[in-house]
Amino acid sequence: MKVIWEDFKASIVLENPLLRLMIGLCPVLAVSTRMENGIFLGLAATFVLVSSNVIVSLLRKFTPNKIRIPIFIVIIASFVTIVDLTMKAFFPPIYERLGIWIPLIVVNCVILGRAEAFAYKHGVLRSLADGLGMGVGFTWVLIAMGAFRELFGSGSLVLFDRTLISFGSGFQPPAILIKFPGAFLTFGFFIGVLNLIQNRGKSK
Amino acid sequence: MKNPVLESIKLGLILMVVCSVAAGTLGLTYAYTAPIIKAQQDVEIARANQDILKIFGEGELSLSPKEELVDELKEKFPELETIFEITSNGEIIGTAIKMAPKGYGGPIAVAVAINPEGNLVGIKVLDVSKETAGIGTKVMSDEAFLAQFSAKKVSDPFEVKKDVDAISGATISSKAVAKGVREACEIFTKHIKVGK
Repeated sequence: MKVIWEDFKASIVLENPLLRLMIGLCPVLAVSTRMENGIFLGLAATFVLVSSNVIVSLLRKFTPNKIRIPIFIVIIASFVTIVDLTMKAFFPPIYERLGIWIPLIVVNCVILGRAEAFAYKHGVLRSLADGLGMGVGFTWVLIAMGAFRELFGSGSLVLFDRTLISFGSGFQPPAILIKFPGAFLTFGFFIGVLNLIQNRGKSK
Repeated sequence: MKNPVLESIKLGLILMVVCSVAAGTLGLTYAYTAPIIKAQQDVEIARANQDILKIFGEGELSLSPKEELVDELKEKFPELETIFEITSNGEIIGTAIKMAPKGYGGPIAVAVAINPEGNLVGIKVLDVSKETAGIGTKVMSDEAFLAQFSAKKVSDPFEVKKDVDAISGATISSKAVAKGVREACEIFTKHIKVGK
């Protein structure tokens, strides 16, 4: 049980796929302009991660080493297509906005990476925990970056058409945060803050 | 498994089994979601049509698409989406042209309402989901920007810096809207008004 908890916990901060392993960055830089995007892309990626980890782990004894990558990709792509169709059916406005980034989850390195590095070598429960942990780690960074860029780059935070926080018209938001350079600035800032917190812990 | 041919066949078969199961699952998902997706799209179209009618005001209005004309013009105006004839109690009171000019992140859906005399009734931006949140999306909500189009004639140039003021920071999206309106007016002048 403890091992499973460790697998889950590790990816949230210490081995965070984005801030620590720095894989699967492209969608994060592209869609983190809104908090809402982060929630949905994060959930979609987590679903795919968990499902593909479980299936890859279940099939690991029957998967010949030589063709494991095509098998992983078929499994991942199937789950991505399921997510794609489901989102199109039930959340069309968000599907519209995330656009190409939903199908592109297929090539997200976090997912193939975990299938190859973890699920192919470990049991179902541990793979499930790893997938969930990686998903949570991926999602919280995506939401936090989206919230940061939306709030400071456009002056307000909107969730499901409701404004949560707004600075009012007196605040002139630095539009650079919403544009592409802002993605890199915010990402760097997040890594810096995480390093600062962790280093402070060590020196005590 | 020494024989490489046999091994290849075995690997191929395993891959085929995996792919078949995946394809079956996807088929089921598609069969389940397809009608829901279709219904969602219909709702979306109905709402957009309602928004277009609102430009012309309240009352018993109905709209009928002119599909043949759209097919004919599509080659020359690739950004044209639909043309509607707006009628009130059987009398034509105007034309609505829906364009999808390319903005900053993708197409912006713009509906242009023109009365039979060739004056703009107004425009409505229907979809800005591909534009930058909080910047390009302003072309949908900025009243002052949208109001500029209302009193114009189809013969006006509709060019940013000439007769249209762009929203500061959202120049590309503003230009796209202006281009959509300009092309809609061109379509109206050359292909709709001429016929009457």
